[in-house]
Amino acid sequence: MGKSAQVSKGHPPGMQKEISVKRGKKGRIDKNRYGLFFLAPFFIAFLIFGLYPILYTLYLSFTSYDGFNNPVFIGMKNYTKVFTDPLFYEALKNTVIMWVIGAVPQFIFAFLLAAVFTYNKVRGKGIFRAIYYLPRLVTAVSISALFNQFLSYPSGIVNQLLTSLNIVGEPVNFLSSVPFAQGSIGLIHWWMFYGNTMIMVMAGMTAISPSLYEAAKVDGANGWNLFWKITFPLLRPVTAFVFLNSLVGGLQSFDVQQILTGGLGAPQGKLMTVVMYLYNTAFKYNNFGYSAAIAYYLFFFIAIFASFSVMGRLKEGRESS
Amino acid sequence: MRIKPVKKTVMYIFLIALAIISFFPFYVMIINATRSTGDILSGFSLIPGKSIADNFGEMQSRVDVLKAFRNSLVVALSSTALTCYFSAMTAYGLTAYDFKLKNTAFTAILVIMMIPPQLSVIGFFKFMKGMNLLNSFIPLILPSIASATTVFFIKQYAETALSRSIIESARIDGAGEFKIFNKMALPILAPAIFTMGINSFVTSWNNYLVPLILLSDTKKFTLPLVIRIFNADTQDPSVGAMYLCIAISIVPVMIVFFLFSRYIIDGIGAGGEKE
Repeated sequence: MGKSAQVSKGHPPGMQKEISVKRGKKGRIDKNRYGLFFLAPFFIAFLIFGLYPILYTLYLSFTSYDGFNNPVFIGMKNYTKVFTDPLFYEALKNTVIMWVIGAVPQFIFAFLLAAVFTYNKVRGKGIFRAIYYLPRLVTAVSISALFNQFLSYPSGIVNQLLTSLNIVGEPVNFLSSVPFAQGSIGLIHWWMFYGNTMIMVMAGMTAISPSLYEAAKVDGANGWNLFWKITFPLLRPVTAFVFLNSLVGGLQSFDVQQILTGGLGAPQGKLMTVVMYLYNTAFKYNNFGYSAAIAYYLFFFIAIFASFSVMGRLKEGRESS
Repeated sequence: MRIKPVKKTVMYIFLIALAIISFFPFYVMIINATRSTGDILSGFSLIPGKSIADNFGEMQSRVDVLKAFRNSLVVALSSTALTCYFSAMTAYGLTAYDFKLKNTAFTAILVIMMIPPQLSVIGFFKFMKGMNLLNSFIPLILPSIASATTVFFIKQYAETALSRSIIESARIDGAGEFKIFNKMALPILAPAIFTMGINSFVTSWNNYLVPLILLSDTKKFTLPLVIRIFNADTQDPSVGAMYLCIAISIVPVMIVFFLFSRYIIDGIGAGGEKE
């Protein structure tokens, strides 16, 4: 009833017709309730394994809980502590620094390679793309253990190569110096993810109609102009998506730093990420309530960024439908 | 845009150099898996050694990596099967029917995609501890029923691939709704399911944080957890055995990838375009 009232109020006559046609097919309307059956397993599983643990974490964040005795409600204490916890902000700072070190070259390579593959005929394109993408698929833990061997002091492969080529006189203890260690993490992240970013950027570039470039070239635009005036603006949604994706992923980074430092975040705690801090607080120091508060505080930062992305998607969904 | 031969040469040199950088670590990993610890520490080589059997014996004597391999395989295959079937089911429900909560449900799925896994970890741990499911594979497998990203991707595909007239004609022939889904929709959605299935397998195979907090019994360890043990053993490291263990965790993924890379890469591309 409400629907037809709405229709007569505002919608154009075409809409009204469509709805009356829909109602005419009585059989289909009867079947539509099956939709809920098809959605049920997903939402039941999400309620049990997703939403319930999330709310349970929220509850625990207001308690003091050591993993053995019953949680004791302590109100906002965990939150007032985390807001002023220098270790949290230090971990957040480290996480962002390591993300930037990895993300900057990652984007440069991704855009450069996407342009190379989109605007040139490259022989073996499929093989190149596959090889660049491969590191993204492989277990981060295995990759970290692998690089831990490569960078190890004094006889890891990197040191063997550097000393044998006389680039350095003495082996370098990479993972004991802050800039080298953070740089290595950034480099590993670059190595793992540039291929993935490249493929997402490429999908966006391929979608730009060639006729736009043709028209601009007729008007006398050069390659540089084409990129800044056509490619870059039209790629904005894709750029925003890969940027947010990378930032949100970067804020959650854990595997590589945990394996390379054995969970300690050494040297000088500069490799400690927020999620490592969260993990250690709960599973090393049995402070689950505080760890839950850290999780929510981190989520607060992530949600701010992610909401831009969700809004973008919803907007796009509305435009395309 | 045509470019000059010199530029073209520079371009290929760049592409090949980058391919070497991307693949070289894997190559060294495979080579070192066949060399003895002594050889590996004394120098660098591009030629395989003869110690793979020794490394294997050493590896198994420290940690049962084959058992971990089986565990990883059981978890990843079961998760993938659940993700594929139930995501297709959800996507089908969102495409083939019109009902009141449909748009709300789809918006919910988009929001769920954005929830970082860390948010639930602490509650999940306590929940599973309370259910006596620590050291069980169930908490690693059952949550795969609700994979929002997979639903999103398959739904995008279903919107163009599934036509309502086919569904309607099957109904006229008297087929039930679930039969239509199982016999007709699943084959039509197969390409998207396949792409997301590979992704789901790899994600589960690589999963680290959740097994790390739930599994403490070494007999239940998955591959990332045994690699962690090897990596942490700095007192008496067996580097050759460790390279072999890393290779065992990586090579299956590499094989799957090179067999199906086209589907995987097209999948990401298609997903990216929609964003």
